[in-house]
This record gives sequence, C-alpha cells and structure tokens, in this order.
Amino acid sequence: MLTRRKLLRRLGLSMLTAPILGYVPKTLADTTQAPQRLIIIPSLNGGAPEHFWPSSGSMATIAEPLAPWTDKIQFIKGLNIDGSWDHMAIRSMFTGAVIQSYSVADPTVKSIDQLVASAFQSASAAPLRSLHLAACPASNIAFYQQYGRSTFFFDPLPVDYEANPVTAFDNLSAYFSSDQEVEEDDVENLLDEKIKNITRSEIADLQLRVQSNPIEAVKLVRHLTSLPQSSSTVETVSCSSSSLSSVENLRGALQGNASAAYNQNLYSDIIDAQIDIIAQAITCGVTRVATLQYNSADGNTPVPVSPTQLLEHHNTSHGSGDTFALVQQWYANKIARLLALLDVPDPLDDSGATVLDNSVVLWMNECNSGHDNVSVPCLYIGSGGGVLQTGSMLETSTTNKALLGTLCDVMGVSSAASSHFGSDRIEGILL
Amino acid sequence: MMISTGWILGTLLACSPDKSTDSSENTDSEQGDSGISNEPSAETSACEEEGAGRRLLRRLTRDEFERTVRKVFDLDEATWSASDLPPDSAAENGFSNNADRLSVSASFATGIETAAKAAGTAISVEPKLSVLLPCASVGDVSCAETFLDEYGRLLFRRDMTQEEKDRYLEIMTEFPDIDFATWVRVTTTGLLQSPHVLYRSELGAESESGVYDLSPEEVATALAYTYTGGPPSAALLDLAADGGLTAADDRIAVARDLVLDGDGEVSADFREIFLDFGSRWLGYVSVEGLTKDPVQYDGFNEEIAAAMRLEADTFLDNVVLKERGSMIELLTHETTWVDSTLVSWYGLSDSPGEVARFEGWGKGVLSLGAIMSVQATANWTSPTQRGLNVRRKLFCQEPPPPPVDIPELPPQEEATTTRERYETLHAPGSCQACHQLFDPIGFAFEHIDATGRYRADENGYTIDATGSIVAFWPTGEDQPAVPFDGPIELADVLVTQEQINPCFSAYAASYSFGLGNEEAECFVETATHQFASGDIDIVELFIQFAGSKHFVKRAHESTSTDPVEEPASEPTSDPTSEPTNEPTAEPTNEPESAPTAEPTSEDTAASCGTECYALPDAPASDEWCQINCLHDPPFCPIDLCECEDIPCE
Repeated sequence: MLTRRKLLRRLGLSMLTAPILGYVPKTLADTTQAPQRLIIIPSLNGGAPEHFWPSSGSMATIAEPLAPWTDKIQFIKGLNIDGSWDHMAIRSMFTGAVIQSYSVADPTVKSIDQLVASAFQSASAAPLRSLHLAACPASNIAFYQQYGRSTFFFDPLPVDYEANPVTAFDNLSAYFSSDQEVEEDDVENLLDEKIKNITRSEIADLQLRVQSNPIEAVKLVRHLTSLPQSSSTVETVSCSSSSLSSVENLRGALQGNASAAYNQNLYSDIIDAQIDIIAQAITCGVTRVATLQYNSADGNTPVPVSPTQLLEHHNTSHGSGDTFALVQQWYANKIARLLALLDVPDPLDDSGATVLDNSVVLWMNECNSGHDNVSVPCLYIGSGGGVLQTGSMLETSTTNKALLGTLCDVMGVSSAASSHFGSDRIEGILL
Repeated sequence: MMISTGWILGTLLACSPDKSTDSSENTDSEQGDSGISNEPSAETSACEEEGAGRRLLRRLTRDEFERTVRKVFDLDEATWSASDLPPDSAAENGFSNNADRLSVSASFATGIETAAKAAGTAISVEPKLSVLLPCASVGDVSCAETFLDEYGRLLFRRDMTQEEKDRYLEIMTEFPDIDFATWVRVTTTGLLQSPHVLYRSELGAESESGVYDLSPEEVATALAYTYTGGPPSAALLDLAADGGLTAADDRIAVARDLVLDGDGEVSADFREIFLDFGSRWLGYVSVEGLTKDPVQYDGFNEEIAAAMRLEADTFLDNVVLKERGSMIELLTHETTWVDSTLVSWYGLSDSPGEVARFEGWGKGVLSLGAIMSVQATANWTSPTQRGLNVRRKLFCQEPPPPPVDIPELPPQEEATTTRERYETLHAPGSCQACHQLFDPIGFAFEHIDATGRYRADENGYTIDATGSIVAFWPTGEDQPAVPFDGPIELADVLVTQEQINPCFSAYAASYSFGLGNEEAECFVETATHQFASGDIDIVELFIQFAGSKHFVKRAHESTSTDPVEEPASEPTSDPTSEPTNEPTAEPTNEPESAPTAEPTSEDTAASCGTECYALPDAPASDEWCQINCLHDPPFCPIDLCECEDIPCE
C-alpha cells in the first residue's frame, strides 16, 4: 500500500528531480512545493457572453454560483480558439490543432491533459495517470466517441472516457483503500507478469509484419503502451471514504448497464456523482489530472434548470441569451459542487493549502454566442499551487494555445512536448 | 462507372446561406447524424474499377470479442460476459466497427484483462474443463499442446506456430508447482489478451510488387466475422487451407451458407448483424434513452422507446430478412409490427402484431416511430432533421456545416404549425438556399409527431404535408422539382431515384469492411450494379460482397487510407503508380495537408488554382475564406467570401 507518507516522500523526490527532467520556468521552480492538480471541464454548445463576464466586481448570472470563490477565480477574456470553427473547435480547444470541419482527421497531437499527466507521472507517479469521466457525452452509447466529436486526444485517437459513475467508482475503488499488502513474490503476480511478457512478445511479432504500414503500426504501439500494470505494481492510496452516496444512489440503475448511463433523465445525478469521484480521486492523490465532459458539442441533453423547467441544451443555445444563461448557470452550480469538495486541506501538502489552491480547474467554451470561436467564455479556479494569478479578469487578445502553453509551463511540461501550442504565452496570469 | 454519392460543388456554393440555418435544432447533431460528409464531390464515381483496399489490423468489436469467446469455449451469458469492456467508438457514419476507430486503449486493455481472467476461470473448473479437454485429468505437456492446437487455433484463427506455443508451454516448466487447471486458466487468460486474438489480421503476404494476398485463414476469418460476427469454425479453417475460398464463387457460396440456414432462412447470427447495421444506418439506434417534453408528450417513456426500437427491428427482420426485400420494399412496405405498448401509444384498435397504418401515416421504414422520434426535438417535429436524414441515408449527400449567426426559431404562438415556423425561419433570402434541399422532404412527415404518432392536425390547425424534391442528381443544375403530398407519395418518389441503391450499397460495404463509405464502395461495384439493376435483394447484396477482390487481396498501402486498384492479371512494372481514388478523410497519422478545390470541367482547362478572399466588412479573413472555400466539402458563405480562378500564365 502506498501510504500518504510514502506518497509525500515520492512527491518530495519529484521536486528534486524535476529541474533536470526538462524546462521548468522560474515561477514553478520557486514554488514547486505544491502538489499540483489539473481538472478540465469543457463547456460545450457555446456560451452567453453577455451573462458570463463579471462587471464592477460582481459575478454575472452564469458565474454567480461561483461567487464564494471569487478570489480564486481568474477570468480570461479575449481568448480565441485558434484554427477552428463551429463545434469542430472541441478538437482544437485543448490540442491546439487546426480542425476545419467535422470530417477532417483527428488531431495527431496530445491534448494538454495528456501532456500534463505525462509530466506529473515523470516527476512523481500517481497510481492513476489521468481520469476521464463524462456525463451523457453523446445522445446514446451507440455514439460513443463518434468521429469528429471527441475532446481529449492521445495521438492519434481520442482518450477513452467513462460515462457510468458506478463503473468509474468501482474501477477506482482498488486505489482508494486497501488493507492488504501486495506480496510481490506472490505466484499469481508472477504468472500475471509472465502473461504480460508473452503478450508483449506477440505484439512485437505482429509489429514486424506492419513495419511498412505506419497506420497499423500505431495501433500496436498504442496497444503496447495500454497494457495494464501487473497487480504487484498497482499502488493504492489510503483514503477514508470507500463509498460515495451520489454513486450508491445510482448503483441500482447503472451497475452493469453501460447504456443506462446515457439516460438523460439521470443527467443531473450522473454529473454530481462524476464530480464527487473526481474530487475524491484528486484529493486523495489517486490521480492528479482529471477531465469531465458533460453533454456533447452538438448534444441536446435537457437541463433541469428548475423543478418545473427543462431546457434542451443545444436548442436553447440558439435562442435567447437570457434563457441560455440559465442553462450555463445550472452547470456553474455543478462546478461549485466540485469547488466545495476541493476546498479542503490538501492531504498531500503539509503547508495547509487546500486542494483547490494547488489545482487549476479550467472551464472553457468551444464557441461564443454563435458558431464563432472568438473570445470564448473561459475561466480557471485555483492558482496551481501559487503560480497563477487569480481573483481578477484579464482582458487580452490571444489564443487558446497561449493559455495551454502557459499552463504547460507552470505544470512542468517540457517545451518540446508542448511545442504544438506555439511560443505565445499569457504573461498576465503568471504570478 | 458508379454514381457519385457526394454533394456537388456547384450545389454547395449555390446553397451557401446568407446568414443562418436552422436554429431550432441540432442539425449538426450526432443524434441520428450518420452522414457522409467528408468525401470528394464529383459527377462520376471515385472508383473506376473494382479494387482491393489497404492492409489492416481490425480490432474486434466488443460484440465480436464476446462471440469469439462464447463460441470457442461454449460459454453462455450467465457464465461469462465481457460487460467491462468500454463501448466501441462510432465512425462518422454511425458504425462502430470502423477499423480506424478501433484500437486497444488503456480502458479496453483493462477490460479485456478482466474478461480474459473471468473466462480463464470459467473454463478451468470441473466439469467444464474435462468437457473441453478430456485429457485434462492427465494434465501433462501433451494435453497442454492439445489445448493449444485445438483452442489456440480457434482463437488465433490459424495454427499457432511452435514458437508461440512454446511461450505458453514454458509456464509449466517455470512454475512447476501449479496444477494443470491453473495452467489452463492462466494460458486462456493470456490467449484472450493476445493481439492475434484481438485483431483480425488482414495483412496478407506480398505476392508481387505492391500486392498482398490474404492467407486462406485470413479469408476464412473475414468471411466468418462479416457474416456471423464470430470466428471461423474449424471446418471453415480446414476448407480455407484446402483452397476452398480462393475462387469468388466459392466464397459467395460459403457466405450464403453462413447467412442462411438449412431451410434458406436468415441465420440468427446474420440477423443480429443486419439489425445492428440497420439501426445505425437509419439512426434509430439512439431511440432508447430519448427524452420528450413531459407536457406535450405526456406518457412517453423508456418502455415506449424500447417498443419503437423493437418495431423497427421487426420491420427490418420481416421485410428484408424474411421476405427478402429490396429498397423498394424497404421504403414502401405498408404494414408495421407493434406490441401492446405501441398499440396503446399509437392509438391503434388492432391487436399486437402486424397492423395496417392510418391513412397518411406513411409507409416503409422511414415513417416508423423510432426514426420519427429520433429525427425530432424533445418539443416538436423537425422537418430539417427528417429531410436531412433522407438526404444522408438514401442519397449519401451531406450539407455544408451551419454558418455563424443562426436566428431563433419563431415562437410557437407566432405561427400556427411547425411547418410555418420553419418556413418563416428559412424564408427566401435567408437560409432557403440550403434548406430547400431538405426541409420540404421533412414536411412530408408532418402528420407524424415527435413521438411517432399519427396526428390529423397540429393543435387544431391543418397540416400541409406537401413538398417537393429539388436538385436531385446528378448534375446539380436546375431540375424540375418532383412534387409529393405526404409520406406515402414521398416514398413512391424516393424509390424511383437511381442513387438510393448505390448509396445503400456504400453503407453496407462500409459496415462489412469496417471502412468509410467511399473507401468501401469501390470494392463492391459488381454487386452494386446487380443490386441497382434489381437482380438481387438486400441480403444477397451482402452475400455478393464475398466475391469481391477485397476479400482476398490487398494493395500495398502503408501511409494513407486510399484504396488502390488491384493490378490487372498482367502486372505493370509499378502497379502503385496507377491512378488512385480520391483521398478520403478517414483518420490517418499523417499531418493534414491543405485541402484542394474540386476542379470543375470549366476550370480544369484554363485555371491554375482558385483564390478566395473575404468581402469588405465581412467578419472573416482572407485566410479563413481560402481554407473554408477550398475545403472538402467547401464551406463558403457568399456574404463572407468570394473566390476567383487564377488564370494560367
């Protein structure tokens, strides 16, 4: 079992080794004591900008539920999704790739979550590299990761997401608590490792047959890197809570039923459960990178903005901004739920900082009020462990790539790995 | 020469909207969105000759993996399932078996490991173990070899090499303390995670420069998974090894045996495959889980949605599989099949079973409740979505993406019917240029509400279900509109259009080969012609695919997804230098190249390219116009951009 002490020690080691792993900006080097986290929540179907940006120090309608964390929020106004258009921007917003239509090929570069996860793992491995959850991210499970509609990428295919919170939690439960030490010389573990070696040999055999065929060769590379760890190497983290009520409330409806997770009647409950899972995994250090995609870029999931009012997400986005702001505000309430859960002393940080302080929770739209991608609504919460500006609104004129590059810099991603974000940075958000 | 399935450039430019498109719905939605959007537009086929495609590793789908394990080890659902596997990613046309979309991700690998361990446990306990392997009571190396020779062969779909077998046999020597049952469990766990199991190899061996012959076992595997969704039997592997699958006629005969049972009825396996295909092609796969406005559609629930799914499946089963129908029957069959739930929901007086439809409720598959419910919003019908669905699924045509500024659909109180609201929104001078191509088709279905029920009127107002189809095919020039009144007349018009058969064949080939429509359609031209001429029905169309060259040969195609023509029997010095088909937009790992404009007959002679720029004061840049107007498919709003040919010097 990986104890907190052990985990902290490992994190401490990472601080010493980080500078030689790649470029680390001065701001990070100075304040690298914090165990950073990154949480990305894309807000799709555009926004209602007239109800998003704060004015006179007050939160506008959409962000009003986030008001208790005003001093930890940074608005960035004037951010354009570079090289994209329409909802196609969902594939650009976190990859920086040029996507001009639904039908062009997926990005062949990694999205920021993957880059940061790699950097974090290199510095100090968490049990789980990254966590990717979703709530009704398609109208039906039949459209899982439908071509052209994915958001996070792992070169060249989309990152898998788990839309069923019961499955997600059960898959994580082994990390949350374990009372048994794993015996590394256990026969079963050795057999397990033997089988994995055979699989690796078989993949190598097959690779010889596709040497001249890069498309198929990529599949095998991905296969090889996706092989599960042997059970003897799986780490666990002590964490007091072994169940979540929001998950258990859904267990009867969702356990063993993947397609039921796309039941739009459960939308609100599913988001709540996924947020709770992310909060626990992030807080306990099971992972340090998480993403949550609710709805899809052209999805029309009805949003229960009040007990008597159900607004279809996509359709409403093409209507009155006043009405659509209610939809976005409803989502902001969900973000507030996450912030409240993260606003607790960080068990990985003896300084007394909260998990939220050490995090960057990025909430960003792919479109503005129409199908354009200029000055999209964008904010982040948390200073990433004291390296980022918060509590204000930066008015600028730049691209999403500049933001992604800046976040990469402060999270230890090498300049080579993030080179596809270009060299522009948003200096105004650096402390 | 084949009929093209893409939008014509001229048509697209002509339909460029001034400002807006449909604001009332997700015309760009994945809900029922399974169209072909990414392919070249041309008046003639991209494929001049039936060819063979690229070499592939096709990862098994969830269903294929599950069927494989069940068939090889005779495991029932109660004993074992692969429910932990993540869903398969859907391609743009809605199919979830696309070779380029399927890979072994971390989630899939973890799920496979869990499923493999469960299967290993299930077959290594008595009495199951002794049933599968009678020599298990002896449990020696010889018995282990027997296990690998028999079950390893079925899983790998070929004989395992000695080197491959030795890796598993070594476990016995490296772990001398484990018993034989443990060896079977661990070995099975390993075999089921093997890339030789998880991928259908369609790599072949190079027989001449640039041409690869699939091995007999690879051909057997392709046939078995295409027509049964599972692995080849030992008998089929034997037949392949004896050369029984080399000739096209032999493969077609085998395919027919796999599709049909001894009585000539469609087998349960192929039925399952076809219904999966049909539900995704028509888009009704998403009917389950639909939410409708609880006030307007009081009582609509999951049970009704599931009943609609069953109705559509039963329709396809009866009309296509049992009655061996063609596109004509599919689009014009007059009855439907409902259970008691739908009898009540539709307000029928019949008993459950095959029932006649109300006058004006439509006929054929397009009017079924599942499709009508999916092609609608939660609050009202959607003529746009319904019309687009016809364009996409029957004509393989895709509109350009919606523009930036989309006005709101007029409120219901300002218009009497849904049609009036749409006609107001899409009036001449606004979005009509594009919407005239699909909204009028959708108007035909206005007597069917957003939950599939017949309605004589809309809130007391008369429904106008007349419409017309314009700019049909193939030239994109002005053509007389073909009028119709209601869904029955629309169906009668649709079946007279020649492009519906090749379009369907493209979808069927895409599903069968796990590739994009435009890539796959080039492999089945012979069968497509038979189908278009009415010589064969839908089931036979699938069967005839087995005779295609793609089932036995592959072109050396390592860096792009383009299908390459198979060389003639007298190979040229460099077969790959033959002209290839138009590029597809299937995912590759190559950097994207700049799109090029589709040349027209006019500009090929005197033009040396096209330059596009933004109009004065338009909210677009020259760069934006250059990219989007020359994109494939182009998106070039006439109020934003203008293009001109560059004359050759």
